[in-house]
Amino acid sequence: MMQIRVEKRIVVSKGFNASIRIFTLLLSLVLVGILFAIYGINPLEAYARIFMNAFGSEFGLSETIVKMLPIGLCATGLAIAYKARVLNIGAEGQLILGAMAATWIALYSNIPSSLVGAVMLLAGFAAGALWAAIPAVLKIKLNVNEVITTLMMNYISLELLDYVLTGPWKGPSQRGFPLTDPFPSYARFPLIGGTRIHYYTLILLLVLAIILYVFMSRTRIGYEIKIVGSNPEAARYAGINVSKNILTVMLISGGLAGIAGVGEVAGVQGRLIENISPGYGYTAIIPAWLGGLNPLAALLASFFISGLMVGSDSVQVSLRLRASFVDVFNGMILLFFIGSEILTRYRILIEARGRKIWI
Amino acid sequence: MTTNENYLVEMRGIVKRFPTVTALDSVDFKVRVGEIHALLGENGAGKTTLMRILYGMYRPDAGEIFIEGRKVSIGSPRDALRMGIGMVHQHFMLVDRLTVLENIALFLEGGLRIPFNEIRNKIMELSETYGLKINLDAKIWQLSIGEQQRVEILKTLYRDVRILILDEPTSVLTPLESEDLFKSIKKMANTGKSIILITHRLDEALKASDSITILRKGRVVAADIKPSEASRIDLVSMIVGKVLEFKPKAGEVIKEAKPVLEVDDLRVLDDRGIVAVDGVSFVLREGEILGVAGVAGNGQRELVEAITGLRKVAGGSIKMFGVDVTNSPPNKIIKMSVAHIPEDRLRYGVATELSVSDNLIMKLHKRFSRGVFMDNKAIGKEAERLIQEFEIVTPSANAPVNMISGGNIQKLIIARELSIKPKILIASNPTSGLDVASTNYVHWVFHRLRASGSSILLVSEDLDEILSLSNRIIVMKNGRIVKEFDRNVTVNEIGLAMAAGEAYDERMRNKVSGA
Amino acid sequence: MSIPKISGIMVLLIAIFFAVGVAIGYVAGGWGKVPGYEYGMPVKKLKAGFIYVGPVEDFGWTAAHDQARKHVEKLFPWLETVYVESVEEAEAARYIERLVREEGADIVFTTSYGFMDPTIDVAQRYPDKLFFHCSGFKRRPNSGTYFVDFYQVYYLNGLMAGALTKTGKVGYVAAHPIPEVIRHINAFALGVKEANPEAKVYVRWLHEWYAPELAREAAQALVSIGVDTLAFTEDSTAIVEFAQQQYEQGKQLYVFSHYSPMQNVGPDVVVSGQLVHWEVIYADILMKVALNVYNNTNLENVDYLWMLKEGAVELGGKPGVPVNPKFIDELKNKYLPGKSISAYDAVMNRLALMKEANVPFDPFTGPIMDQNGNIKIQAGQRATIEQLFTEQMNWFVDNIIGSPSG
Repeated sequence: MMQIRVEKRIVVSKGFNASIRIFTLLLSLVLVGILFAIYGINPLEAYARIFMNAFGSEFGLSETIVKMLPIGLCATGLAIAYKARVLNIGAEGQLILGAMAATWIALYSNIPSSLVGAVMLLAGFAAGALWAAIPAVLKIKLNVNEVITTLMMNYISLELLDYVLTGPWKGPSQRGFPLTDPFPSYARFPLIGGTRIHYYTLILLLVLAIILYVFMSRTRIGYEIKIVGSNPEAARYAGINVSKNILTVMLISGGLAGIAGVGEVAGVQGRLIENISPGYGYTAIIPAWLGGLNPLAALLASFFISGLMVGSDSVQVSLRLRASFVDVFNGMILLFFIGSEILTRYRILIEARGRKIWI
Repeated sequence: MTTNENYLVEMRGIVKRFPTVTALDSVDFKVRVGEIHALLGENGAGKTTLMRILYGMYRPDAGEIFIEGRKVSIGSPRDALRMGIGMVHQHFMLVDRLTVLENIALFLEGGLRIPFNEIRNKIMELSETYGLKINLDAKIWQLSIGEQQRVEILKTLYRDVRILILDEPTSVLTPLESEDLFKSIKKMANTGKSIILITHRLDEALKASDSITILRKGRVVAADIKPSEASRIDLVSMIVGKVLEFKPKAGEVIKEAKPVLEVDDLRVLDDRGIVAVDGVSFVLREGEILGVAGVAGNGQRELVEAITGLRKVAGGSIKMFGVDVTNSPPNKIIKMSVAHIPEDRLRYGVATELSVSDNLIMKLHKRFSRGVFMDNKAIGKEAERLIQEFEIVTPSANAPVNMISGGNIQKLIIARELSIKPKILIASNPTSGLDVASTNYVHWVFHRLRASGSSILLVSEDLDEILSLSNRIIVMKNGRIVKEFDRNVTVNEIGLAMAAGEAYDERMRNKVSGA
Repeated sequence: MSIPKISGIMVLLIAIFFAVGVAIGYVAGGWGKVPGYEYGMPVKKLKAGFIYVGPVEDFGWTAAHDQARKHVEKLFPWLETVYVESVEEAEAARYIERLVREEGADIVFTTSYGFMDPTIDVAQRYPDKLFFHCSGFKRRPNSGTYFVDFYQVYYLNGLMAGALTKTGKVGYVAAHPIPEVIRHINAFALGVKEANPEAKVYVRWLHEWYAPELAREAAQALVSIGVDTLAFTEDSTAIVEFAQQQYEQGKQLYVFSHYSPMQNVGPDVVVSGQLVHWEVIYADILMKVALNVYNNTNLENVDYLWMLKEGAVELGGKPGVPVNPKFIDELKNKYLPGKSISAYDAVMNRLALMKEANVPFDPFTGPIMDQNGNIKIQAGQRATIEQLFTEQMNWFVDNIIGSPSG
């Protein structure tokens, strides 16, 4: 008879942590590799293609970066919020609000064209932050669980987006389709030649990630946020204003998601569309945690997650597998990677015929 | 390999290394059948680690374990329980909302059907045999700490353990409850069970055990000492490696000094919304230590939390230095130089994921910042100073607090609270979990603090501590002050007041209703 | 608006290339020898990429495009195809660029309106490659557009619906209030009106292209107000399944399937419907590209809008079956009001007329009034392309109950 048990690990070293992660990653590659083999594709060749498609060609790398921009902006902000144990699941909605604010500036305001880019970014930040402030205030004043409110706010933002696109902002030249008119050229972010990388957003992302890293590791507010996240009771005991810190992290994470939305409308699409975000706000939750809630590590994790997604294009395009296989592929690798988190905290004992195997 | 038949447990050459420290360095440990064996040592000496290895929670890096002479490998607590080894931890593992019976059932292995009647009968029998009285249908949250401990012990006894490990069992008990516990332990030993008692209380070891093993810094310094053959002073020197005992002098009763803390007719509710502090009034004067005695759970915790701003006040007032601070937020009270050593050190005292140095400056972090930035250099210096002064055992100032032992966490908290140079110190059980040397040091620091003109509200379950430090003593029972003493009082008198509180309270009530 | 706008020079070029192709083929002696080789000598190997908005088995829009892709791949031995499915609008540009840049596609078909701007953007950056966008209106020298339209077929469906309804209440479950859908509803309503001037068409908007649950609920709601005949614009078989269930419970509904063959799903309820034949357009475009009739300089004005005449759309709920035989007798016994022609014959006649080269019949022939009693199309006139295919198509015919703005 085989028995499997799970027990808590008491002490975990860093080296062990790293090797567990590498081990689980390899395990997921082997399992997905078997799937590839079933479909008659050499797994090694498949992985080589995926890697090349994500990082190995100029095009792949540039597309990985394009995708990293929204995911990275959301993830670095979320990392701060989660560090304070404020579980903001609403980056998606905050991104959409940022995109809507930028759209309003680009199409309906009378701001001088030379200022439009900067004003879009500010408005996007403000809109995302305000959208995040609603659940923050509900949490502070009424102790409402932010997981539920931020998630619900995502649905509200989608309905709002639907409303403006099918109603007041529906572009007159769009034959009734739910799209706004294209932004004027001065409201488009410039691209790095030959790519779709809108470098305003890229620079902003890199600078913000560094600022947030310094903010968390060196500043007083960062210190307070860490205490609030580790033990809110202790924070209160130490005279730290817990509510203020909750609001701060929500405003930062919401604002960054808002900027991500600005980048998508002004840098990528050039207009507001219904699915302006294919779930960037949700995807970003993963790198935020994978990066150990460190903004720089979260940015790095965003880069790899984006690479994984862009690279897995090739599963469909060059390996000729179905799109659903892409989801299986991405899902398996992420699941294993997140699962490794559990292995670092618990150990598993498999006992069969008197033999014991520890994992 | 054979071994002496007499020993039920034999651990040989146990080594356990943690990433930064060697917790156990080839430790040998033996326990006979039917013996109460005390495992003594300072905080961080390795007592708990050794027992966790026996209970299967840790795996040793080297060494062997024999049960009844047979070599065994204990991979998990489940393995341990199957071999008849049970452990009661300092922190209980009970589900608050379930009944005692359900909690015991949860602990069992087996199929989907839970034989409640069978369990009930067996528990009744066990509780009769060992004198462990318990109401099986009470919910855990309704029980006192002592009763919860009984549930934990019954849980393991139900599994027919032959070796029962108790980790600092009396640290949460009143003197009376401790007495009862030791009676039960004796009965268990008489039925052939071996009991391993982790403790740092010398008196307990001397009084209750048949044999003593002493650990210091991960090594055995003395094994199998018979209490009858050892003197107190010998043991102390073996435990701490140096003989140092500070005998504090209780202060005079001060009547003239101006009041720094005035509590008037204070009413506070507990977490469940029930009145926990019921009309308490007292005055703390400059340069005085006011002891608050009483069995835990009689409103001391709520009183302290109300004074420090952590809990809402339902009625009455609190004044500090003549200023009304009723329902002021904690930061306002901290600004008035009020320090607080909390009863529940993990709940309030530390952010365990953060480093020792981050925790050490938690109260003063605004002072350790330059503009928006933290002054990491100054923080590092301050942390090193406090770590040294209070002998906090930690791999480094940057190690997270969850890497250091409970006693060292307590030292950390005390170090931090004293570092703000408080004018008022609210201390709840400040030396609980501390070893002899550290306790002495803390008492000395309190003494010095008082000498410098600061005042201390000392809430403690350790009557010796209260008696030896306080200028005056008040006794709390059922949320009220039932008696006030000056320092010329004996432990017995206080104990009587603590116990008589019930009757006193009853009389008060009759008086009120009669009026 | 049936032939792509090709200048005279182009026609000449086609002729020349055809001639050259045939000549080379003849000289090489390969004519008829290569299996499946029917359309002349290929100039070169061609690789075509397809970007789909949904999964290829969506039983609707994308499935039809993919069947067409397979069809042309089999038809032309010199053609290789590659496709990407389930592409979100926000990510279309990357996939389009990947196909031309990494996969070496010579031509990319993008099959969703939302892909319009990404298509134009990539086309601008890859001027040597060819692009065709389905359902849009933006073009470039290397990027054309193509589409089919069903309004003629909807009109024929409407004729049958008007003839069959017993309650005089006909339901229409509609996706988004855009000119295309409004045009189809109007064409359908014109048919209903002709067969039964008293009948009303009740419209329910879903604001979704694919929403089986919503569609089912909408159909249920319509039936509860007395509707017994249903047409719809929604990419699932939900309504057909619903009607078939009702039939099995003893209630006869009449349904017109949409876009895909659904008669097998509702054999007792599907009267007819609309079917698409994208392969007709794809074959035409690819052949012309292979022969260099189309190249990266001349697509600015290439805009296919193919209908019955070109064979890009078909009447019926099942290929080759214009009307479900189960309902033929009923339709033959029902005469158009004031005329001596049965509904069935009327459908067949007009179907034949609309397939003729000069299309002598068009449903949108005046006088046509909107819901407010305004004359939208003057008596004896046909609607113009602008009236039918732009924002001007924002009104409902007078026998429709509901709002054209959603």
